[in-house]
Amino acid sequence: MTKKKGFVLSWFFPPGNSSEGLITYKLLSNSKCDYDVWTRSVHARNVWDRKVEEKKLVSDNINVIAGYYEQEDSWLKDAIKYFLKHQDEYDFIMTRSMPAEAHEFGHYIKKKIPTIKWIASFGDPLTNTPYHKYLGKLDALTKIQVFMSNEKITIQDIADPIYKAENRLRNKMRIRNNKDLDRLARINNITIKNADILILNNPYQYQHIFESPYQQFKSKGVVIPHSYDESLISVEPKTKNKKITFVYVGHLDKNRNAHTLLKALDKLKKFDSHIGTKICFDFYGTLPDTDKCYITDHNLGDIVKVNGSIDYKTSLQKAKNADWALLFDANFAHDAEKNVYFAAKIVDYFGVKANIFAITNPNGASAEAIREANCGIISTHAIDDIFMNLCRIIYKKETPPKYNEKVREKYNAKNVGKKLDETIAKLCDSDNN
Amino acid sequence: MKILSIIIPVYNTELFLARCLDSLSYNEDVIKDLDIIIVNDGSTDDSAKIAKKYCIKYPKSFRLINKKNGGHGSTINTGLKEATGKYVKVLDSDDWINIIDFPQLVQKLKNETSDIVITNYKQEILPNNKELSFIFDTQGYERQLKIEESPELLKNENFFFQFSLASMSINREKLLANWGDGLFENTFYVDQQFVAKVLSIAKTYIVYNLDIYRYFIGRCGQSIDNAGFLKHRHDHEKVLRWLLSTLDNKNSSDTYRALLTKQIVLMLKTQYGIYINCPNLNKGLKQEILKFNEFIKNNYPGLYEQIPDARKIHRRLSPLLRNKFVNTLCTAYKVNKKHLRGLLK
Repeated sequence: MTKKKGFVLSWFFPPGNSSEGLITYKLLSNSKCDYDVWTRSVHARNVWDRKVEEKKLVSDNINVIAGYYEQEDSWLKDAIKYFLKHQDEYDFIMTRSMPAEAHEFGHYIKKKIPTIKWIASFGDPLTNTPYHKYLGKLDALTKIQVFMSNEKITIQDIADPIYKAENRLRNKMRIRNNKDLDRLARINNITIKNADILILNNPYQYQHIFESPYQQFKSKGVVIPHSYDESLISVEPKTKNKKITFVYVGHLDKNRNAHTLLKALDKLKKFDSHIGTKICFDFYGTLPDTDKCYITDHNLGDIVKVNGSIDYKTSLQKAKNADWALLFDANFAHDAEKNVYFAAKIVDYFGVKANIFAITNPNGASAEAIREANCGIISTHAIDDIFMNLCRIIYKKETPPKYNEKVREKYNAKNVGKKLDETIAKLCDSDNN
Repeated sequence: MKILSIIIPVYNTELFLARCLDSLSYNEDVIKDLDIIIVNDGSTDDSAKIAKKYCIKYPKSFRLINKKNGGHGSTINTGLKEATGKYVKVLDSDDWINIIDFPQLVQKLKNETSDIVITNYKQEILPNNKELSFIFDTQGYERQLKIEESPELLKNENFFFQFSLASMSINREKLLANWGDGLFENTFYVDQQFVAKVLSIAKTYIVYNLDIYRYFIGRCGQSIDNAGFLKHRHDHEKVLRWLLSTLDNKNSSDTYRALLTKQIVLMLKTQYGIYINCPNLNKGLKQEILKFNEFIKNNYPGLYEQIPDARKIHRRLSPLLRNKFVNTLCTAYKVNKKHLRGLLK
């Protein structure tokens, strides 16, 4: 059987240091296919890229084609030009969001070359997400309230209310949000309808993507989870810590943050003034300013250390050496039922067999994976819930039971790569059947 | 004899039950004084499996009773029959106990003689990551007070929080002596019925300066959210009518009747609030509302006068406030009509 070759569009990829790029690298490097990855040069960094480069992450089956791009438009245009020139070399194309624009490449090529096989990978859902519904955006009610507070209702409005109201709102408020949401909805729509395969990273995301009106496309969906790569994990033994050490490596922001943990630590310090001699929390990466201020204002500097960014392999070692590795999901408790997001960090923790202290929605992808793997404590964002769980760890020395190895192996990059290869083989050979 | 029986009604709360039980088992010195009765109300998830682990680990303190589904009231009825402790407390399975102050509560209950013991509590509100404290120190802590001699309770704005499932531990024998038929089965909002029953038997109460209960707000589908109230409005009305029938009992003391009236007025306001904010007011529902309104107006005119929404009910149901413009805007922006109607007034 001839080796398949794919053209992959991925805005994030090593040596750029980002979660999405690392996920893609681990997936492709453990696949038996060859790949040309169209990405950006490490010099064109934005806020999602971490400062430390991943120069050592190279693989024989991956050829990285990186150009200096600051905007997706030119990146896509050049990708299209390149692909059309070399299209005969490839058996399939793969587009990976974020950003969602990557899928526009797939749509364009699919329209031009209908026989090309297109695999679209959704890192996160594009539409109808809790971020759009609940966090910081103007919802429909707020728009109406603002409109109503400033305008009298006229006969014209009653005669043609939708037209008038929408125009006035858009002109008056210059809402960009609607355009962003419209753009994502459009990309979501064309991708689901036209891609041959849709890769989702967990079953909750699968259910979310194929809700109405996309149920008819369910057969296109394949769950290929994030993975850990044992070859990237150091064989150095775990170090012993004097204090109970919690570590977090990665990006936190105003939506996904450590705020409730810090409040729980403040409560803990008031309960036990010597807590600084018993525990420490190490953050590597970005922490929002509000969290940094909270640490200072509440004298938590003896418990919490904020460090700079580190490279991926070092981050794995830090997680391995810590007594507990932290996970923070955004708090979508407001009306949201399930957490559809599955942080890649979880499988990194699986890889190093870290105990996981997860602050997340107990109903969702992260919590389910941790429960199945039997490797952590799950807390909601409620401050006293976090506090109580910290007390269990610190004073009762609770640790999770043994890792469920069968579940853990599901996320091994070798097995995940195999699943990708099977998907690709089935897709590429489908015309022959 | 066990000091405190804790009744834990459980229905499909596998995601939260372990947290509840962990909080009770945190302090091993206290467990021996506890009689924890987990009443599994026909759960279809792994709640029973989770509960069994604790029963195996602490066989002298944790018990699991599996029963056919019968609602929150039926679990409390069952739990109370099984309870052996000097005091009884109800703990919802998605809530938990403050591990810091709880041992002190159990210690104090050993020598306590009051009918009701009140403790402070917190609401853990997930949507905005807030903790809301409910502190009851209006009469001073650790003073046994007689309910009959506490008319200030009627003026107390926190009365319904002070006498609630979250705050109360009740003398079991006293409660059982007057339990009667117990709480309604397969009915929501029976906590109001529970409070009324407790107040009917209690002569004395005491407030401890302890922060005990953690009331979790953030689980989807809780009956206290707007959608829950609307869906279960018939249950709310059923409990309300029971309270009204209790008010008709002339043998009750004046203070009890006054407290019960206060409770009924609050429930009436809630009931009218549910009716007025129904998004889809069809003919059948309008008739239901008007029928209820006539019942209250004719049979309890004194209470009727205390409900502003009741006196304006005809205007509130007017089709003029349901005009096309409102409907169109709501459809276009997928907005709840209640909010929009409020803005148009």
